[in-house]
Formats: sequence, structure tokens, C-alpha cells
Amino acid sequence: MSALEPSGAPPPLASTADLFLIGDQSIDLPRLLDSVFDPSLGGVAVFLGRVRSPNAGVSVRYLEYEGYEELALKVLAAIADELRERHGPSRWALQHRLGRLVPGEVSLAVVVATAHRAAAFDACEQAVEECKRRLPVWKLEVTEQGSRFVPGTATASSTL
Amino acid sequence: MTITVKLFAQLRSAAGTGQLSLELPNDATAADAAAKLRQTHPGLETKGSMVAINAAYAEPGTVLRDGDVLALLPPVAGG
Repeated sequence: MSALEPSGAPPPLASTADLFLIGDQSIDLPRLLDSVFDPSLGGVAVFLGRVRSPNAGVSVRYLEYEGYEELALKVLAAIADELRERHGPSRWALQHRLGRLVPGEVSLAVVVATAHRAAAFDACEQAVEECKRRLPVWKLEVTEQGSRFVPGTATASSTL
Repeated sequence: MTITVKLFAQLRSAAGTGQLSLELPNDATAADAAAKLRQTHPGLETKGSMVAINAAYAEPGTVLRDGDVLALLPPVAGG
């Protein structure tokens, strides 16, 4: 089955049709595209975030991602539901990888299908921002100069 | 009561473990649990971290119950 032209009737529009993945599995973009297929949703936007090197002028060997998977899956579902409320009918595939990723590998994938293109672009960008702000994921950056946890700046909930 | 504590990133590294059991008096809050952890694990800096109880973001003042899973979450840095 091609990602661009899947066969068969699409499942009904519902949040249960969304796809949320957190973990070690690599990002399978055709699968994500298939999962948001619906003929009534004519605009599909994709964002991929790759591990960047150099970062802040320093060559990166790899990033070691960790996450609170159970909470992260709930956060992804909440993001999709909130943006569906704002942008109308939409189908979502949201994935964040965990574990060791080398520069160039994709760590974050946001795929959204909406009725028209403007909502797809907006919803996709907002989902990326919400993932950066709320998703309980952290990364250890390992460079030629040593390693450090990349300081997070976002706290979506009250702090100690 | 006994709760389970999950620690992530810098907090996990500072404590030397990602999960531990903690004995607390009844009616202890998430903030009380963090304070006790700072006593038992010198060098653990919990200020600025968020808390989650049973895999849902929560307020630090939330009262814990026996068997709860409390997670301490540094500011997030995904993507």
C-alpha cells in the first residue's frame, strides 16, 4: 500500500484514529502518512525534527533521549485533541523517539491532515511548539567536549 | 504510606537511580516527598522541577496517597 494513495475505506474521524508513538522505534514516515489518510482531509502537513550538529558551535556525537512514556502518550493525545478543537476535523500522527540518536536522525515527527492547507500548516506548527513545551522528554548531549543534559526551559505545570 | 518515586534526566543522574520507594507520613504532599528526597540524596536539586502523580501533571501541594507513583520532572527539553 502506497503512503500517497492508500486503498480501502478510511476509519471514521475520531481521536481513536490518531497515532501516538513514544519510544525506541525508528520513524516510519509512510506508516505515519497512511495513518492520517482520509479523502475528506485534503491538506497534509509534515514536520520532521533531526538531531543537529554542530549545535551552538560544538560538534555533537549523539543525543541520548529519555522520556516518561506513559505521561508523554497522554500529552500527545491532549495536544491532538486541543488542536482538533481549534482547527476542526483532523487526523494526527505524532512520534518522538527515545534512546541514542546520531546527528541527522529524526527525533520528532508531526503529521497532520486537515480539510484545507491553512489549517494543516497552522496545526502542524502549533503541535511542534506544544511538543517542545509540554512533552516530558529530555536529552543528554554528548560532544567531543563531554556530556551534559540539555537544559530545558519549558514547564507546562507548576514547579517545586 | 509508601509511594514510588520516578526521577528523570538530571534528577535521575544526581540520585543514581530512576526509581525508588519512599516512606512518608499520611497527608504528605508531593512537595514534602521532594523535601525528604533532598535529605536522603544530598546534591539532588528539585527546585524548578514539575511533578506528576500517577502519570498526570499535578500541583506540588497535592496530597499523596499510599501506592501513588510520584514523578519529578525537570523542565522538558524534547524535540
